[in-house]
Amino acid sequence: MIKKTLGYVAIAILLSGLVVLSAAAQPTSLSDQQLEQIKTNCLSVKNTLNQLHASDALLRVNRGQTYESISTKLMDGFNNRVSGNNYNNSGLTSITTGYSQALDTFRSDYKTYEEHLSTAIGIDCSSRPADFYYAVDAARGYRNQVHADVVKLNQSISQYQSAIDQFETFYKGVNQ
Amino acid sequence: MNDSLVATAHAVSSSSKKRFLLFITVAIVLSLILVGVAMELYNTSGAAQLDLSRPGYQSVRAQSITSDNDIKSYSGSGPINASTISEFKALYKDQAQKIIVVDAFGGDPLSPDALGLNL
Repeated sequence: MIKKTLGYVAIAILLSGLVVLSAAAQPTSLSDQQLEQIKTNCLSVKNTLNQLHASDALLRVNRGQTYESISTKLMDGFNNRVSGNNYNNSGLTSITTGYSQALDTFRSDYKTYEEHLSTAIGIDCSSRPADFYYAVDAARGYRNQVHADVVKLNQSISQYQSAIDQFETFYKGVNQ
Repeated sequence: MNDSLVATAHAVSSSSKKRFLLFITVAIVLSLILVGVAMELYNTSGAAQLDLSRPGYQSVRAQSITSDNDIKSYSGSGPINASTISEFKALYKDQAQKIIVVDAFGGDPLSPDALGLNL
Protein backbone atom coordinates (compact mmCIF):
# COMPACT_ATOMS: atom_id res chain seq x y z
CA MET A 1 0.00 0.00 0.00
CA ILE A 2 2.76 2.41 1.05
CA LYS A 3 4.79 1.45 -2.02
CA LYS A 4 1.79 2.17 -4.24
CA THR A 5 1.23 5.58 -2.62
CA LEU A 6 4.91 6.46 -2.98
CA GLY A 7 4.74 5.44 -6.63
CA TYR A 8 1.77 7.77 -7.22
CA VAL A 9 3.59 10.62 -5.45
CA ALA A 10 6.71 10.06 -7.57
CA ILE A 11 4.66 10.08 -10.78
CA ALA A 12 2.83 13.25 -9.66
CA ILE A 13 6.15 15.01 -8.93
CA LEU A 14 7.54 13.91 -12.30
CA LEU A 15 4.47 15.13 -14.17
CA SER A 16 4.41 18.48 -12.37
CA GLY A 17 8.11 18.88 -13.15
CA LEU A 18 7.43 18.26 -16.84
CA VAL A 19 4.59 20.80 -16.82
CA VAL A 20 6.84 23.42 -15.20
CA LEU A 21 9.63 22.70 -17.70
CA SER A 22 7.32 22.95 -20.72
CA ALA A 23 5.84 26.19 -19.38
CA ALA A 24 9.34 27.62 -18.97
CA ALA A 25 10.24 26.63 -22.53
CA GLN A 26 7.30 28.50 -24.01
CA PRO A 27 7.90 32.16 -24.83
CA THR A 28 6.12 34.67 -22.67
CA SER A 29 3.02 35.90 -24.45
CA LEU A 30 2.80 39.51 -25.53
CA SER A 31 0.01 41.82 -24.45
CA ASP A 32 -2.21 43.62 -26.96
CA GLN A 33 -0.44 46.87 -26.12
CA GLN A 34 2.95 45.32 -26.84
CA LEU A 35 1.74 43.86 -30.13
CA GLU A 36 0.40 47.29 -31.07
CA GLN A 37 3.77 48.84 -30.28
CA ILE A 38 5.54 46.37 -32.58
CA LYS A 39 3.07 47.19 -35.37
CA THR A 40 3.57 50.94 -34.85
CA ASN A 41 7.38 50.67 -34.98
CA CYS A 42 7.33 48.01 -37.69
CA LEU A 43 8.86 50.11 -40.46
CA SER A 44 11.69 51.61 -38.39
CA VAL A 45 12.56 48.23 -36.82
CA LYS A 46 12.67 46.62 -40.27
CA ASN A 47 15.01 49.37 -41.49
CA THR A 48 17.28 48.83 -38.50
CA LEU A 49 17.33 45.09 -39.08
CA ASN A 50 18.15 45.54 -42.77
CA GLN A 51 21.05 47.83 -41.90
CA LEU A 52 22.31 45.38 -39.28
CA HIS A 53 21.96 42.53 -41.77
CA ALA A 54 24.18 44.35 -44.26
CA SER A 55 26.76 45.58 -41.75
CA ASP A 56 27.05 42.15 -40.13
CA ALA A 57 27.55 40.55 -43.55
CA LEU A 58 30.38 42.97 -44.25
CA LEU A 59 31.89 42.25 -40.83
CA ARG A 60 31.63 38.51 -41.48
CA VAL A 61 33.37 38.79 -44.86
CA ASN A 62 36.20 41.04 -43.67
CA ARG A 63 36.68 39.34 -40.32
CA GLY A 64 36.52 35.88 -41.82
CA GLN A 65 39.19 36.77 -44.33
CA THR A 66 41.51 38.15 -41.66
CA TYR A 67 40.93 35.17 -39.34
CA GLU A 68 41.66 32.82 -42.23
CA SER A 69 44.84 34.70 -43.20
CA ILE A 70 46.15 34.68 -39.62
CA SER A 71 45.89 30.91 -39.64
CA THR A 72 47.17 30.16 -43.14
CA LYS A 73 49.70 32.95 -43.61
CA LEU A 74 51.11 33.35 -40.13
CA MET A 75 50.42 30.48 -37.71
CA ASP A 76 50.97 27.65 -40.21
CA GLY A 77 54.12 29.30 -41.54
CA PHE A 78 55.68 29.75 -38.12
CA ASN A 79 54.67 26.25 -36.95
CA ASN A 80 56.33 24.74 -40.01
CA ARG A 81 59.42 26.90 -39.54
CA VAL A 82 59.78 25.78 -35.92
CA SER A 83 59.22 22.13 -36.79
CA GLY A 84 61.55 22.33 -39.81
CA ASN A 85 64.34 23.48 -37.51
CA ASN A 86 63.79 20.50 -35.23
CA TYR A 87 62.22 22.37 -32.35
CA ASN A 88 59.16 21.13 -30.53
CA ASN A 89 56.11 22.97 -31.90
CA SER A 90 53.39 20.92 -30.16
CA GLY A 91 52.27 23.86 -28.00
CA LEU A 92 51.93 26.11 -31.03
CA THR A 93 50.14 23.50 -33.18
CA SER A 94 47.75 22.69 -30.36
CA ILE A 95 46.67 26.34 -30.20
CA THR A 96 46.43 26.47 -34.00
CA THR A 97 44.18 23.40 -34.00
CA GLY A 98 41.93 24.98 -31.37
CA TYR A 99 41.88 28.17 -33.40
CA SER A 100 40.85 26.32 -36.58
CA GLN A 101 38.06 24.56 -34.72
CA ALA A 102 36.86 27.88 -33.27
CA LEU A 103 36.95 29.35 -36.79
CA ASP A 104 34.78 26.50 -38.10
CA THR A 105 32.31 27.07 -35.26
CA PHE A 106 32.28 30.80 -36.02
CA ARG A 107 31.45 30.12 -39.69
CA SER A 108 28.70 27.68 -38.81
CA ASP A 109 27.18 29.86 -36.08
CA TYR A 110 27.23 32.94 -38.31
CA LYS A 111 25.36 30.98 -41.00
CA THR A 112 22.69 29.99 -38.46
CA TYR A 113 22.43 33.56 -37.19
CA GLU A 114 22.13 35.02 -40.69
CA GLU A 115 19.42 32.53 -41.62
CA HIS A 116 17.41 33.43 -38.52
CA LEU A 117 17.85 37.16 -39.06
CA SER A 118 16.74 36.77 -42.70
CA THR A 119 13.69 34.85 -41.49
CA ALA A 120 12.85 37.65 -39.04
CA ILE A 121 13.27 40.30 -41.75
CA GLY A 122 10.99 38.28 -44.03
CA ILE A 123 8.11 38.28 -41.51
CA ASP A 124 5.47 40.97 -41.99
CA CYS A 125 5.55 42.64 -38.57
CA SER A 126 2.35 44.61 -39.15
CA SER A 127 0.27 41.46 -39.67
CA ARG A 128 2.29 38.97 -37.56
CA PRO A 129 3.86 41.06 -34.76
CA ALA A 130 4.25 38.19 -32.28
CA ASP A 131 5.98 35.90 -34.81
CA PHE A 132 8.23 38.79 -35.76
CA TYR A 133 9.14 39.50 -32.14
CA TYR A 134 10.03 35.87 -31.38
CA ALA A 135 12.00 35.54 -34.62
CA VAL A 136 14.07 38.63 -33.70
CA ASP A 137 14.53 37.24 -30.20
CA ALA A 138 15.82 33.94 -31.63
CA ALA A 139 18.20 35.78 -34.00
CA ARG A 140 19.44 37.77 -31.01
CA GLY A 141 20.40 34.55 -29.21
CA TYR A 142 22.32 33.31 -32.25
CA ARG A 143 24.10 36.66 -32.62
CA ASN A 144 25.25 36.40 -29.00
CA GLN A 145 26.63 32.98 -29.87
CA VAL A 146 28.59 34.47 -32.79
CA HIS A 147 30.00 37.06 -30.41
CA ALA A 148 31.05 34.28 -28.03
CA ASP A 149 32.83 32.58 -30.96
CA VAL A 150 34.67 35.83 -31.75
CA VAL A 151 35.77 36.12 -28.11
CA LYS A 152 37.07 32.54 -28.26
CA LEU A 153 38.97 33.23 -31.49
CA ASN A 154 40.51 36.34 -29.97
CA GLN A 155 41.55 34.33 -26.93
CA SER A 156 43.26 31.79 -29.20
CA ILE A 157 45.08 34.63 -30.97
CA SER A 158 46.31 35.95 -27.61
CA GLN A 159 47.30 32.45 -26.47
CA TYR A 160 49.36 31.98 -29.62
CA GLN A 161 51.07 35.30 -28.96
CA SER A 162 52.01 34.08 -25.47
CA ALA A 163 53.21 30.78 -26.93
CA ILE A 164 55.55 32.66 -29.30
CA ASP A 165 56.97 34.57 -26.34
CA GLN A 166 57.50 31.28 -24.51
CA PHE A 167 59.19 29.77 -27.53
CA GLU A 168 61.43 32.81 -27.86
CA THR A 169 62.44 32.53 -24.18
CA PHE A 170 63.12 28.83 -24.67
CA TYR A 171 65.13 29.49 -27.84
CA LYS A 172 67.26 32.15 -26.15
CA GLY A 173 67.84 29.82 -23.18
CA VAL A 174 68.98 26.95 -25.42
CA ASN A 175 71.16 29.05 -27.72
CA GLN A 176 72.99 31.19 -25.20
CA MET B 1 6.57 4.78 -105.96
CA ASN B 2 6.27 8.51 -105.34
CA ASP B 3 3.52 8.01 -102.75
CA SER B 4 5.72 5.55 -100.90
CA LEU B 5 8.61 8.00 -100.85
CA VAL B 6 6.41 10.82 -99.59
CA ALA B 7 5.00 8.58 -96.85
CA THR B 8 8.51 7.56 -95.81
CA ALA B 9 9.64 11.21 -95.80
CA HIS B 10 6.66 12.15 -93.60
CA ALA B 11 7.38 9.34 -91.17
CA VAL B 12 11.06 10.33 -90.90
CA SER B 13 10.14 13.99 -90.42
CA SER B 14 7.60 13.15 -87.70
CA SER B 15 10.09 10.90 -85.91
CA SER B 16 12.79 13.63 -86.07
CA LYS B 17 10.40 16.20 -84.62
CA LYS B 18 9.52 13.88 -81.74
CA ARG B 19 13.17 13.18 -81.04
CA PHE B 20 13.98 16.89 -81.14
CA LEU B 21 11.15 17.67 -78.70
CA LEU B 22 12.34 14.89 -76.41
CA PHE B 23 15.89 16.24 -76.59
CA ILE B 24 14.72 19.76 -75.69
CA THR B 25 12.59 18.46 -72.81
CA VAL B 26 15.41 16.35 -71.39
CA ALA B 27 17.82 19.30 -71.69
CA ILE B 28 15.42 21.62 -69.83
CA VAL B 29 14.73 19.06 -67.07
CA LEU B 30 18.44 18.38 -66.64
CA SER B 31 19.27 22.08 -66.44
CA LEU B 32 16.52 22.61 -63.85
CA ILE B 33 17.91 19.77 -61.73
CA LEU B 34 21.45 21.15 -61.99
CA VAL B 35 20.26 24.66 -61.07
CA GLY B 36 18.45 23.17 -58.06
CA VAL B 37 21.59 21.33 -56.95
CA ALA B 38 23.69 24.49 -57.42
CA MET B 39 21.24 26.59 -55.39
CA GLU B 40 21.20 23.99 -52.63
CA LEU B 41 25.00 23.97 -52.51
CA TYR B 42 25.05 27.79 -52.53
CA ASN B 43 22.70 27.92 -49.56
CA THR B 44 24.05 25.04 -47.48
CA SER B 45 27.76 25.69 -47.95
CA GLY B 46 27.63 29.16 -46.40
CA ALA B 47 28.53 30.86 -49.69
CA ALA B 48 25.23 32.76 -49.58
CA GLN B 49 26.32 34.46 -46.35
CA LEU B 50 29.55 35.68 -47.97
CA ASP B 51 27.95 36.86 -51.19
CA LEU B 52 27.80 40.63 -50.96
CA SER B 53 26.46 40.89 -54.52
CA ARG B 54 23.04 39.90 -53.17
CA PRO B 55 20.33 42.55 -53.07
CA GLY B 56 20.37 44.50 -49.81
CA TYR B 57 24.15 44.62 -49.54
CA GLN B 58 24.74 47.48 -52.01
CA SER B 59 25.49 49.93 -49.19
CA VAL B 60 28.40 47.88 -47.83
CA ARG B 61 29.71 46.17 -50.95
CA ALA B 62 32.42 48.74 -51.61
CA GLN B 63 33.81 48.39 -48.09
CA SER B 64 34.65 44.70 -48.37
CA ILE B 65 38.29 43.69 -48.41
CA THR B 66 38.84 42.31 -51.89
CA SER B 67 42.44 41.28 -51.40
CA ASP B 68 44.26 39.78 -48.43
CA ASN B 69 47.61 41.27 -49.41
CA ASP B 70 47.42 43.32 -46.23
CA ILE B 71 48.77 40.33 -44.32
CA LYS B 72 52.26 39.33 -45.32
CA SER B 73 52.80 35.60 -45.56
CA TYR B 74 55.45 34.10 -43.26
CA SER B 75 57.46 31.42 -45.01
CA GLY B 76 57.40 27.96 -43.46
CA SER B 77 60.94 27.26 -44.58
CA GLY B 78 64.11 29.00 -43.46
CA PRO B 79 66.19 29.34 -40.33
CA ILE B 80 65.02 30.03 -36.81
CA ASN B 81 67.05 32.67 -35.04
CA ALA B 82 66.47 35.77 -32.92
CA SER B 83 65.95 37.89 -36.01
CA THR B 84 63.36 35.62 -37.68
CA ILE B 85 61.46 35.19 -34.42
CA SER B 86 61.36 38.97 -33.95
CA GLU B 87 60.21 39.42 -37.53
CA PHE B 88 57.35 36.98 -36.98
CA LYS B 89 56.43 38.52 -33.64
CA ALA B 90 56.11 41.95 -35.25
CA LEU B 91 53.98 40.58 -38.11
CA TYR B 92 51.74 38.65 -35.76
CA LYS B 93 51.38 41.40 -33.18
CA ASP B 94 50.32 43.84 -35.89
CA GLN B 95 47.47 41.59 -37.09
CA ALA B 96 46.48 40.42 -33.60
CA GLN B 97 46.03 43.97 -32.39
CA LYS B 98 43.90 44.91 -35.40
CA ILE B 99 41.61 41.97 -34.67
CA ILE B 100 41.40 42.14 -30.89
CA VAL B 101 40.85 45.89 -30.62
CA VAL B 102 37.41 45.64 -32.30
CA ASP B 103 34.63 43.89 -30.40
CA ALA B 104 33.02 42.29 -33.46
CA PHE B 105 29.38 41.25 -33.08
CA GLY B 106 29.42 42.77 -29.63
CA GLY B 107 26.74 44.94 -28.11
CA ASP B 108 23.12 43.97 -28.37
CA PRO B 109 21.59 45.69 -31.42
CA LEU B 110 18.74 43.17 -31.50
CA SER B 111 17.56 43.82 -27.94
CA PRO B 112 14.04 45.24 -27.62
CA ASP B 113 15.49 48.46 -26.19
CA ALA B 114 17.92 48.92 -29.10
CA LEU B 115 15.11 48.32 -31.58
CA GLY B 116 12.85 50.83 -29.85
CA LEU B 117 10.50 48.15 -28.58
CA ASN B 118 10.38 48.84 -24.86
CA LEU B 119 8.14 45.88 -24.11
